[in-house]
Amino acid sequence: MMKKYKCIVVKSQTYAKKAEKILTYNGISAFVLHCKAGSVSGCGRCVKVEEKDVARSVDILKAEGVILTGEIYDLP
Amino acid sequence: MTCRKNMIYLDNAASSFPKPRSVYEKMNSVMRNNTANPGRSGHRLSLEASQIIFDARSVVADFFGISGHEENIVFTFNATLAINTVLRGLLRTGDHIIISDVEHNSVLRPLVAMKKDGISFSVAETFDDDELTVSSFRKLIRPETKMIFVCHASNVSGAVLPVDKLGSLCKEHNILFGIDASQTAGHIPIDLLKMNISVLCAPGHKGLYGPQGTGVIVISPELKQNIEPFVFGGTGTDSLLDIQPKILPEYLECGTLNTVGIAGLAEGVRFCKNKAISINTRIGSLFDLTYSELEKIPFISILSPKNNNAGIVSFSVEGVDSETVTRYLDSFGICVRGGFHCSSLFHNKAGTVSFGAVRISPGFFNTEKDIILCINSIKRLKN
Repeated sequence: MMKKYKCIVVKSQTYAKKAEKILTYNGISAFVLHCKAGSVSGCGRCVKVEEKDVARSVDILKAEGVILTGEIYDLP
Repeated sequence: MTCRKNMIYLDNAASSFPKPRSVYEKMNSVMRNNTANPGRSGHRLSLEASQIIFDARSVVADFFGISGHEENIVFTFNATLAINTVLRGLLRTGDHIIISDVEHNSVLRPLVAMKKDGISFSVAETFDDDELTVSSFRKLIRPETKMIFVCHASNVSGAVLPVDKLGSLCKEHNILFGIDASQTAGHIPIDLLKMNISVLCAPGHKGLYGPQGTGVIVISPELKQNIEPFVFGGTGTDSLLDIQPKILPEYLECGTLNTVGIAGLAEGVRFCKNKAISINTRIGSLFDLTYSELEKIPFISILSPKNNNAGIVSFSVEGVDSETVTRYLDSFGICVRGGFHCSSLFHNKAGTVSFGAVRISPGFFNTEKDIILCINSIKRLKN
C-alpha cells in the first residue's frame, strides 16, 4: 500500500530545519520541502512526514517550541 | 607559523591570521558548489544552503552552552553590528546601562549616540581585584538600570573581567547582562546559562578563526524580552505582511546571509571545539613568553596584567610614539598594532593618549620563534 504523506508548514527556515532535526531524532522520518502554491504564511517551507506521524509530530514540535503556522496539507 | 614568507603576524586581536585549513577548504567548496540563497526559494540548492546555515547555528549554539537553541543564534557581519543590534534592540527611553572603563568604541559610541533617545549610561571602574570591580558595578546600579554590558576581556590590555561574578550580580538585581566576547570567544570557555549571560556578541574572524564579514549574537533562551531590530526588510517569512515577523533569528537577519562566510565561521568554531585546550595552552604559553621577555627590557612599560589575561600584551616605549614602533617592527616583517585600538576609555584610563600603545596578540598558529624574533627586534629599537 502506498504511504500517504502530509506537510506541516512552519514559520521560518530555521524552524523548518529544526523540525526536521527534532523529528528525525525522535525516530520520525521528516524532510524539508518547498510549500505548495497558496501557502502564504510562514517561510514557504514545510516538513514532510508520513500521515500516521502527523499528530505525534505536531505534539513533539510544539513541545520543543517550534513555531508552526497551523497549516497541514496532503502531499499529492 | 607564518604562511606569508618572512612575515610574523602578531595582530590576532584585530583579526586572526592564518585560519585553519578546514576553513579555507569549506569556504572554497561552498563558493564553488552552492551560493544559492539560503533563506529564499525552495529548490534543492536553496535547501542545501539552508542546511549549511542551520548546521552553523547548531555548532555555535553548542559551543556557547545552549545546544538545540539554533533559533537563538543570529548572524551579523561583525561584532560591532552585533553589539549595536543588542544595545539598540534592548534599551528604551529612560533606561540606564552600566559599562566598564575598558570598553571598545563599539560599545561606547552607540551609547553616546543613544543619549539623544533618553538612554543614559555609567562607566564602572575596573581593577585587578575582581571583588573591587564587582563592587564598583554594584554601586552604580539604579532602579532604572536595565543592563550591564562589558567586554569579557579588554582589547588593549587583555585583562579578563569577572563576567561570572558580574552575571551573578545581574541575576541578583534582575537586570540583563551582555558581553562582548571579541577577545575571548574561541579560547576562553563561555557558557551562557552557567554565567547568567543574557546576550553575547562576538566577531567570527578573531578567536573563532572564521572569515571577516561574520559576527554573531548568541541569545540566552532565558531572555524574555525581544531584541527589536533597527534594520527592516526581507526575511523570507510571511512575505505578504508589511511588518517584520517577530521570529528569531530571521527577525534580526534581514537580507541575504553571508553563506560562504558563515560556513567558514562554523568550521572555525569546530576547530576551536576540537582544539579547545591546546588553543588556550598555546596562546597562554606565547603570552607568558612575550610578557617575561618584555619585562626584561628597561625602556618598556607594560600596560597589561600578567595574570588573568586573554593573551594580549600591550606596552609603551619610553619617549617613542607607538606607531613609530609598529612601523619599525613592520620593517622587519612583524605585524603588531599601535595607536589607540578603538578604545578611548582604555587609553584615557591608562594615560596613554599621547603615544598610544603597541599591542602584541599571538594566535594559535604562532610559535615561540615568532615571539623571540619580535622581542629581539624590540630590544634593538633604541639603537
